[in-house]
Amino acid sequence: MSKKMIKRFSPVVRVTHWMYAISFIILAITGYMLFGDKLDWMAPMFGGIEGAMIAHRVAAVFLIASIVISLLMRPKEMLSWIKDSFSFTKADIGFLKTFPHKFLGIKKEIPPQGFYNGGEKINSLIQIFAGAILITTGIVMWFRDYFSESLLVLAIPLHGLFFAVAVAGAIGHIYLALLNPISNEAIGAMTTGKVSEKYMIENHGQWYEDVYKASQKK
Amino acid sequence: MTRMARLIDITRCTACRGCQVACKNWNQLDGEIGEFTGTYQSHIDNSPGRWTMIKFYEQKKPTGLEWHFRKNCCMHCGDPGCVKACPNNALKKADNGAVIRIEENCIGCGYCVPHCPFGIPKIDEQAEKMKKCSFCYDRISNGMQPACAKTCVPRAIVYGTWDEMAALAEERLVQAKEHYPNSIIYGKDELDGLGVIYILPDSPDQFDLPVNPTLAPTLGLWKDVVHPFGNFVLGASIVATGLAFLFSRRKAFEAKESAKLEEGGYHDEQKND
Repeated sequence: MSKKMIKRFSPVVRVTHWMYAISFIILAITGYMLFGDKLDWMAPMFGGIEGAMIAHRVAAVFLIASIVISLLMRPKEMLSWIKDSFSFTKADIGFLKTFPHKFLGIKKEIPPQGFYNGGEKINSLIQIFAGAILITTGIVMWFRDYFSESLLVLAIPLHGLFFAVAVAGAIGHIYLALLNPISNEAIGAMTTGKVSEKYMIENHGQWYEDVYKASQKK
Repeated sequence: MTRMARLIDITRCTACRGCQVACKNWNQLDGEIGEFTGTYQSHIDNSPGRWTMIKFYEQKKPTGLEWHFRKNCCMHCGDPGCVKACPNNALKKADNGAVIRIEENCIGCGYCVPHCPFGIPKIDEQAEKMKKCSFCYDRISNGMQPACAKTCVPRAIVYGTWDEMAALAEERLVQAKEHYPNSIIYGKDELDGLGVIYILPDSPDQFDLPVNPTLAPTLGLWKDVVHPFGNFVLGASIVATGLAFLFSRRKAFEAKESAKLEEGGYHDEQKND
């Protein structure tokens, strides 16, 4: 098999992805300090929980900025990602059926996947929905003087609920991209922006087809 | 310890505001000059440095003008919403019924503020702490009465066990009804009984008190459903990925080994040893 590398993500998308990722982790850690007490030992790193609350707001600004920057600078790439995430195909369902095996690191034949596979789409949907709710409720909680009290008491539990959902999704995402031996080549797509052709054929057959056909037409 | 309470008899209060001063004095809170409120009332509301104050109510009734004075302070509810809402265990209900703050745990997040039906918690933005009436916890746990009750001349603020105060309220109600036939007792049944039992000359809404104080339903949803569910989801995802990680490493290792055996590389290495 050739060692040909295929471009997957543009530099802007990669940088904003890591901006999002770092902000997200800081938000999750500082947020958990109010949600539970198992991470309170990290509080001194932020100057106490009071400082963690400030770090939480700073990270929130960076997270929102990462979304805005990527949408403004690479609208095509971002919109096709959103469009893909919302169009669930048979191949995606086929992927989800084999997902338990993939999760445990067992290689299995999967139906040819598009640019994003079924699992990535689920993860994207979790982040899009949870992110929208977290940002909205977060703004209500930050600027509480401008919102009614009944909205505020609703925002607090919603923020907590979707925090848990988003973080659980992120834990799965980080594991699959970083630690799982059969899928961790995906990390290359977010660092160098490229994946090998072999990985492309094995994991994104439909995408390979699309690219191949497109180049044939030329 | 038995639950303690204060009886605040609005029909007896003369608005001398001795309690306001005594509270500042005992709790070492600085005086604050308020803006003109349009009435004789000293300030608009409680503040981080003003844990109690007298609110003035001027009412035109068919029988004539009525002027009432209500001492506004923490009710030390039987079922305190603030304690449940606090995400950092900075509030607790003491055995003697006082809802007390644990200063070092408080980070001034303000979650207690919308969850108090009486608008009592105030956030000191500079100190990043919530401040409110402590029921003079230091005094009452040493057998003394709260500063406000001690200083009250017309015995409009009376301190004692909750049962005593509830019984006294019945006596006072009879006296109050002689002057104000619509008088009621407020705080006996509300939120599992408030730590402040009021004698009000008329319905609570005329004195900025909720007629039927309740806690936001989202508070229960948050603390009893979202919280355990969230912790479960987070724990489960960490355990699941951890186990999957170990399992997948083993699989990868086995695959590597068998590939080597197929190549025959493994045996060669052994020979070289």
